[in-house]
Amino acid sequence: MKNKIISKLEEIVGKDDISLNKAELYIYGFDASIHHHNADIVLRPESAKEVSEILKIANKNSIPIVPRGSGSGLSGQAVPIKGGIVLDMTKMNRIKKIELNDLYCIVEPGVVNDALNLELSKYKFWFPPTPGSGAWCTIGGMVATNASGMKAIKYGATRDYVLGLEVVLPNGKIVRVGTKTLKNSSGYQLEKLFIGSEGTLCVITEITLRLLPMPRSRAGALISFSSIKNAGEFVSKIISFPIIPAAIEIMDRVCIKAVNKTMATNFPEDEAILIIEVDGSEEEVKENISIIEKIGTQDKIEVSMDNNVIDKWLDGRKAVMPALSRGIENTVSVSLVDDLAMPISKLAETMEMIQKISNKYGIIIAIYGHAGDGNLHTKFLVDPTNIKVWKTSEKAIEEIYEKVLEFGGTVSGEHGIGISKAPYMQKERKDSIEIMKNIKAVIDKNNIMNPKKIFDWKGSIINYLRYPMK
Amino acid sequence: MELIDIIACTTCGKCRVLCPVFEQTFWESMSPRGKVMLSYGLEIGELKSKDVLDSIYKCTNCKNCEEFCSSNVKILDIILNVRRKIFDKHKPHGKEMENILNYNNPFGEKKEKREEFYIPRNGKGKRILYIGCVPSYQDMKMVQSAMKLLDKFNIDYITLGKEETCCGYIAYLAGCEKVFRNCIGKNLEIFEKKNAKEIITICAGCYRTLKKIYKEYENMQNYEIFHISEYLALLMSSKKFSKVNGKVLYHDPCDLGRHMSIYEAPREVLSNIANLDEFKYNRKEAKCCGGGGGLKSFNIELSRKIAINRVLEANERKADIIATSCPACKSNLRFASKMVNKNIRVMDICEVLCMGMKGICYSNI
Repeated sequence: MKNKIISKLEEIVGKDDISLNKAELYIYGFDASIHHHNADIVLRPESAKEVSEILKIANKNSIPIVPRGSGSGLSGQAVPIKGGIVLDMTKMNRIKKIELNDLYCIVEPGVVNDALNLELSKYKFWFPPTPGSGAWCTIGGMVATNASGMKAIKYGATRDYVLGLEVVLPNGKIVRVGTKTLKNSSGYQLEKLFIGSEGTLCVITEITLRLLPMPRSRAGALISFSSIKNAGEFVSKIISFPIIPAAIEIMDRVCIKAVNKTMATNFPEDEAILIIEVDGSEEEVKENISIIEKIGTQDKIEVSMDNNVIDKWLDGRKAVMPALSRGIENTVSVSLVDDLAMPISKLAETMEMIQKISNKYGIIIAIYGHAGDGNLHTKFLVDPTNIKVWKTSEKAIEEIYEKVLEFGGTVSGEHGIGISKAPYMQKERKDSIEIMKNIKAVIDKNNIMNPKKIFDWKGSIINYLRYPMK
Repeated sequence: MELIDIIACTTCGKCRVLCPVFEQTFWESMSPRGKVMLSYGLEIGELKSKDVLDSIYKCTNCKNCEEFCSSNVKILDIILNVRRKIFDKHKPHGKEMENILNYNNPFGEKKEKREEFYIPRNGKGKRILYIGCVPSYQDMKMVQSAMKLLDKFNIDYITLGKEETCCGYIAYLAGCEKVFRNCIGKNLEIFEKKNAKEIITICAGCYRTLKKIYKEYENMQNYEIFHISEYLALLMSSKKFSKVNGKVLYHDPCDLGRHMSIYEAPREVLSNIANLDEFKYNRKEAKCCGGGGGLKSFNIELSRKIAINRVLEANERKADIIATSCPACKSNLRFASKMVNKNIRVMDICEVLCMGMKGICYSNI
């Protein structure tokens, strides 16, 4: 990057918020995915105006822009594959307004999910999407990937709560889309277009979120099963009853053992467990949990109304991803496949299919996720320094995705596409790719916004890997 | 340290939440995961030692990240490993290391000065009160209070006075193996010479070093190591103390708490004489004072910012006294209290206890 451009960028953000430090450029090349590529420069803007000025320069000079929150994404969205400017948005972290009379709040993109909910809890309100990374992921990142988490079965995803956005377009124009009202049929819903756009269309600088009152009461159930198929079928039994719990989380044996090892959670080491949370009025909660108990009479079930116990179970579930990294000696967990969303009726079949493919290729694939809404996460436990392992894994991935599409599922439920799922999403959405490309071309003529992601990625995902190969 | 121990880090970002250095800097390279990945970059040749130096030495060794990490990544070992690799090239705590070798303390002070704050108890004896460098040269009140308390409980002990040598903790943290091993050798020699069986420390850092870290290098089974708070907790019921006025908050030093799991002994001592309250973040979740890990001498400005953050927490709780059991914590928090609220007094638990002893008043501390 030319010195003249660097000086201009420094003038915009100030000398404390620009880095050309080699260590920083290296570190900002990672997120929580399998990919890595160095950044050319890191900037930490503090206002939409600063973002706008940066984008004008980037657009004029065709410099890639990669917006980033806490870098907790699992698909490589925040990895600057073509270098360029990484925009660390975490300094824009103000909760600007909480308007309870109109059921909304306005936040900057760097606000952390749990920090927002801590503030809202003072008024007995909340923003329901609850990713496992809620303690550190940012609202901006959640909007950019349409994140959701455990409570999506009852409360939906981030998309369901975004009323309006302020975004900066690649040409530097600051625009407001959406509203502050709960209803809106006023033209194209452009705010919905930007949700899940993974930094490929704009930089999000302000978010208006719909709020809900916090549920008054909750209860939990921990149920263990002798087969993963039974666990999957149990989910359908509950939902078709009908009961819609706040969360139905699943963990297979590999995950249970890994979490027990690192967190001392003491989950029953059966083939699978479900952790169910129901919420609502006290009466409703008691009724629903007793129905779940009755449905589960054939299985080992533990029920609790104690918040500490329920939180301990859910914290154990949230710890699955990192815990798997030390689950089996000489392996680490890598995020592959990792975010399927299936019709709930196909859940049991899908998990069995993954286990079969795991056995066929001799790769340990751990399965967990938000069974209540059909969203399954998987982790491959492998030696990631062995290229043969990657080649074999790629075959397994292709087979899994082929079946997923056959079963009517999708390659991503909540993590987004980035790089890791790009080739498979391109197969899944072949009718939509052209439209997506056209939209991108209209908004981002010079293709500066997070290039080489989603439909712009070509070839195998076993590229730009963060691991050294033997 | 194998490469797999480093790449086991999924870089999920969870460790960003409680890291005191990241909280002040907000740069990824300052987060624990950032440091782990820098170590990885160094390991695979993508980075050079000069690239990682600044980040790797900006760590307070508080262990909050490790406690929080669900992957059980040994973040502190990874950081220490890098420090050991790059120390000789850059000598980031070079002057202190020279001082330890030449003067047996990191400050370059004369050995005779160790005896200026107290009358040494010479001779041989099975129990040594191991004063430590910071109290010896910089904190008279801490030394005198500890000695008065042990006397009050009729505990026999000796002190090493000018024969005392730095435990070497700062050398260990800096990654300077040569100086650390030298300190181990000198200390074990004097312990043996004095026929010591028990060593009581008043410094949390010395305690961790003698009790835990020395064991990684030498056989320490001949010695029982105590922190003075453990000793006092056992003795408290035998004497009467008057109540100390005001609300006291106990600050867990990282070296005593997360590193050595001593949380209750200091609280037992204080609850006997004070209206004891807690920081919002306490025990395993206690926030660091910023004075550990060698950060204070590497970057005092950052170290003090972290301390101010901790004192702000005490201020919110309307504390009158912050009690702690580590001279480094005391010193850093004391500086911060002057910036945040001059009315908050920062004291060692021994000093607080002495306030409750008849005839002794530390109101001028």
